[in-house]
Amino acid sequence: MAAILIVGTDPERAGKLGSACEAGGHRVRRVAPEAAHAALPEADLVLVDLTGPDGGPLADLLGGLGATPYPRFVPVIAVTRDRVADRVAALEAGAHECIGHPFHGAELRARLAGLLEVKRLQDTVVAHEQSLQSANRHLMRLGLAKDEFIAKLSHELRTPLTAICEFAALVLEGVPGQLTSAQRECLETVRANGHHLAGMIEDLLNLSRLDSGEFTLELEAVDLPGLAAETLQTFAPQAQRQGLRLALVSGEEPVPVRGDRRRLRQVLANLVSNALKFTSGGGEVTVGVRAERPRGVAWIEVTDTGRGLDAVQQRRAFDRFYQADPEGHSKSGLGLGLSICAEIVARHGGRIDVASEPGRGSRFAVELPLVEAAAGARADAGPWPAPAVPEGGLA
Amino acid sequence: MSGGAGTGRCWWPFARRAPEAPATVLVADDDADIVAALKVRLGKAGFAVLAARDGAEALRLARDGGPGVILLDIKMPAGDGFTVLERLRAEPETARIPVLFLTANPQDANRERAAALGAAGFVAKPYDGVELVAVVRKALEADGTPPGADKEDP
Repeated sequence: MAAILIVGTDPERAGKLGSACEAGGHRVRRVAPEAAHAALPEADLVLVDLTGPDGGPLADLLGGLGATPYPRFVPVIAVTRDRVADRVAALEAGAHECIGHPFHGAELRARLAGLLEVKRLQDTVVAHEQSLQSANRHLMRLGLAKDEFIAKLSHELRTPLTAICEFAALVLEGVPGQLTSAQRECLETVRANGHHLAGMIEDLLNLSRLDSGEFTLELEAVDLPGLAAETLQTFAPQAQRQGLRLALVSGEEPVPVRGDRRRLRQVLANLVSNALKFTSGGGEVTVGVRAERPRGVAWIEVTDTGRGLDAVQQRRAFDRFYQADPEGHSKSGLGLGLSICAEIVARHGGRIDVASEPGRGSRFAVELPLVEAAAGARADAGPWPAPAVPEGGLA
Repeated sequence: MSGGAGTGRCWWPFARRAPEAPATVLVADDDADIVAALKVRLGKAGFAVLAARDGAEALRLARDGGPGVILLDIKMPAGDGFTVLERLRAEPETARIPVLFLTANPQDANRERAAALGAAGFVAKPYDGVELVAVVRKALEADGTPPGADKEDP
């Protein structure tokens, strides 16, 4: 059941065409050529009669009628004299289908049915597309709202946390007076938990920046052994407290990469912090930095003698919110650190991987493109794609 | 950051003070607890501290209080940190005071904007007190001489 618009100058032929359509259960409206465009919005399909002597001007109409702008689709059938040249001319002018005159009602209805089915399919696709677009707009609004919420939340949480951490630190430093060891212990706990909370807030904000595309790299030449030494220094007191050996192993030669110093330090700090967290006293955490010049890559390897990860934990280690913590450690955080590391490394055109044996320890390996890896070395540089970041950095 | 730190110092007379006089740090933050913590922290490190609770007050104290360095929050009523920094730079008497941001909004965009406006440092909240004092000292040593100024002004 469709609305058929019949366009022509001869009332008798238009009548016959109309009757044939009505026999198929369709609604019909007949109009003169000059009224065709005005009637088009209500039509599901148009029949244009080109058989009369005035077929020429009508053919000009075809292109306009057949080119209804997307997403609306109104099929046009041209009724022509039964000659190949006429049919071809009509199709070239923009008709979707042709039928020769004199026509058979059954054939006309069959052609109508075929085109109406095409229209139905097209309309379905368009409806789906529109609902997807609207769902997508909704999701994008939600995504923006989420990012905004996290940014705002992070700010609102940081401010009171600053007062908590700093006053705890000031009291621990003895500003208001000397503390007993029990008081000191209580305040150390306050401060440690404050820092833990700050780390989680930072991770959430990092994640939201990565998702919103707000995460940018400030690229410069970075010498990895120097960066590793700086980073390790900040962990020396913690390693000492835990009774762990923390060592840097690197050769004499520089290992230059092009990267964002702050982000790469974040990756290193995260790996070292994890290694320390899962290694008990008497153990060892080693950070190795080296260049593999034939392949044009730099390696950072963080190895520990901790409890290690089983196969499932290794596979899922870089998943968001996954916590490779069999004992349900209460201080394990949000499970975002390694996924953020992986993203940062990927944006440097590198990759990160883990190898581990339960009970023996783990090794996290970061591979980054070496700066010296010029065009020549690139060819046999292995499976890694060129850095995802253009030379000038991201906007 | 600046390669010329220490060399272009003497030509700027207002920044010179007797060695014993404590340098004044102007702190602008709308959170009273943070201001209180900063007063203790900076006071303990030997600085005199002036506190402003909004952007307008920060500008007034920057002009009248003779601070050697300014610590600015970004989100503040009556003129956010960036606006305050721009106004400071526009006036000759405050143009060379080193400015540090101390903010709970450490997004990249804010870091970049602070650097573009010539901030001497950018510290995220929650901050490490010892590190903050070190950053303030470093800014004071640089004496507000912008990078390259010693070359441009003989």
